[in-house]
Amino acid sequence: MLEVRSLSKTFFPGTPNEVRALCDVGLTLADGCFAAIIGTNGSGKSTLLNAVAGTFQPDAGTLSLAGHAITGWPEHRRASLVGRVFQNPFAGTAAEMSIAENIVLATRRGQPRGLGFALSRQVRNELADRIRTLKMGLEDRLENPIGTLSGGQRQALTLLMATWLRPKLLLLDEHTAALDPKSAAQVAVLTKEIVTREKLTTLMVTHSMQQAVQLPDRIIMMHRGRIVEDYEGERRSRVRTDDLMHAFDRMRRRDLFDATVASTILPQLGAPHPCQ
Amino acid sequence: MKLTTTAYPDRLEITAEGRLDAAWAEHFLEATRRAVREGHHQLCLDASGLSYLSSAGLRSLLLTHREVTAVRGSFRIVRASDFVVQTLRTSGFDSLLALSAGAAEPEKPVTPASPAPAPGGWSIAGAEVETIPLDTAPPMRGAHLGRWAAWSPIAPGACPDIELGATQVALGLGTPGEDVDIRERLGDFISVAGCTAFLPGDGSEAPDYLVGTGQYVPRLRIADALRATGAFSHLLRFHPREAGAPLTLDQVLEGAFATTRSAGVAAVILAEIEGLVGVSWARSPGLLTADTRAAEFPAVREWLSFCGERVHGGALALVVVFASTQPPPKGVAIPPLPSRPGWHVHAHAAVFPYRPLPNGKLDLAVTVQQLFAGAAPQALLHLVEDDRPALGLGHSAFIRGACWCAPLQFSSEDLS
Repeated sequence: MLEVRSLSKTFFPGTPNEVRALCDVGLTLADGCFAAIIGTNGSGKSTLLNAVAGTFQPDAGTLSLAGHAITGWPEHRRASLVGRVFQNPFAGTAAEMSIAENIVLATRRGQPRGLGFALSRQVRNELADRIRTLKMGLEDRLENPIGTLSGGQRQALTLLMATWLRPKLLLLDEHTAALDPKSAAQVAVLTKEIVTREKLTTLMVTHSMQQAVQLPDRIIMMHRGRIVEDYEGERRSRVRTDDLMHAFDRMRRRDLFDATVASTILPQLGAPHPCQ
Repeated sequence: MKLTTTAYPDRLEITAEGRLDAAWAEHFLEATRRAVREGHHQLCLDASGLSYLSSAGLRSLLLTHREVTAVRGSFRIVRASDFVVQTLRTSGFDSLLALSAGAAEPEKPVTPASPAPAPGGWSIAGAEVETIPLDTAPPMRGAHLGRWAAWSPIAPGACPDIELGATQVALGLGTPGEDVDIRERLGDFISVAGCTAFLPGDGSEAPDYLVGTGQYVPRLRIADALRATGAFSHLLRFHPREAGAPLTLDQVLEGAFATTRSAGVAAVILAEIEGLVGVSWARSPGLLTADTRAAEFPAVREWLSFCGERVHGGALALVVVFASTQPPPKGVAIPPLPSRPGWHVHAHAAVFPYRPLPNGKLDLAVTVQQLFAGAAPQALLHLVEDDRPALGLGHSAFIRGACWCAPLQFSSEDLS
């Protein structure tokens, strides 16, 4: 279970560039829950993901994951509990190393590594079996440098690596955004399969309303550093992309509703003019 | 395929040259739909240049026929080549599409010109207006029900349950249901000819609706409502002249005042929208408490949702309006219209997907029932004007449509 309590983060405080990226964010994610975070650019969704991953320390608030209070943990320590897939398919893998070498590194994440041979025949066979589930024919190319693969293939492998050790939390940071539409759809389907099969607690940032509706059990909408909508349970079951677009539009309209609008429309609704 | 159109006094002739097949069928349909939207309901296809007609092309002809017939128009095919005639005859559609080898229509196209306004009719620059007298019945009887003092707490017990039948038009703040619904779901509504659309103030984006059929008459619990009972005296049909601007709400109302020769009118507008400016309830006003300062900025943003831009252009609006050029009688609250000193206007609009309206005289009840029988309403707004310097969104405006109007009198009985 992931518990985020009153998390706040301001970048460049006290300067003209001050950005209140997270404002008192609270969130509880039950074990095995697959949640998507959506929001406009600058809404704080990636910042929340980075705060959970430990990329920076929050100004206020606490984080706990699987019973561990991780607020003060550095990023590398959290890696033993957290699997992560980035937007860039070329991040998270070593291009010059083979598919098998990349994966075997991932299988040792958070564990002590010695100087013995990592890739035995048995390990290779196990890798091939797992990679076969991707249905991309990569099990026959274990010795190929991972840098020779397409973005979609590489992202699928990264997803497999991130979930190999069944992490307590899987973080997906717009992991299909840099892929062509066909590869993005393929990786999205794969994501749903892996997360469901392994019952992974997952937090996925996405700009795709279609993905947000099709993949997760829960949809969280952020705006200006706050959670403004949380679709779960019965409410989640009837959400369509149109509803999410309406919710975005509602936020945009709210931003456009300033004091001049109020003084213009309120008298037309029978309210006394604010200046009176 | 090349399409050219020529307007004649009695028809719009579309000349098609080339192949009407799957690649061009949608293009052809778009052209005929655009023509219908612009008010040309008598269409004629000059098929002399048509070299090929596939089943996809045939489908586009049949769809055009169906859509034009729905607005009481006609679609004929003239000067068809032997191949086209043979194709239509073989498929059995020759009679349906009023196929004729030649045509004896006047050859001289018309240049758009405005007909002289009907005697006693209203006219306005940039628009063609047809005034159709409907009924010599007495003025519609107005009533202000509920009489919510804006932004004050609402006691469910003070919200009457009213019937909204076929001879009534109404707008206001209401919801179907019991006391708990009043508190949580109160929102704006309109009712026309037994059809009621309401937008619950519970964050819903899409209006709900009740359609009176058979013995069923919609009922609402209302906190505040203006209701008019009776028959409309006039129908105004309007559309822009070439390069003419759309009509703003106050311009249409000007026509209603002039036509009815009355200082107070009830009106229903059904028209293609150029743009609407309005607000809706983001939270139910039933949740207001004595210490809620909801009518102040920024708190008001939690209660009202402002459209933020001109919205729903190209869709169809069903608007209910209560308007007066004089202060409303005591006991009746109609807010002032900023752009017209002395005018008081309350207008709500329900938005529907666009569908063409037949030209000429329209029966309000039939038209509105058909509208509700089609696609569901997409939005419901309380219309406002936004005349802020530089930033203002302006006024709601309509491209072409119909306005049913009648003089309105609030009786002392209803004001007691």
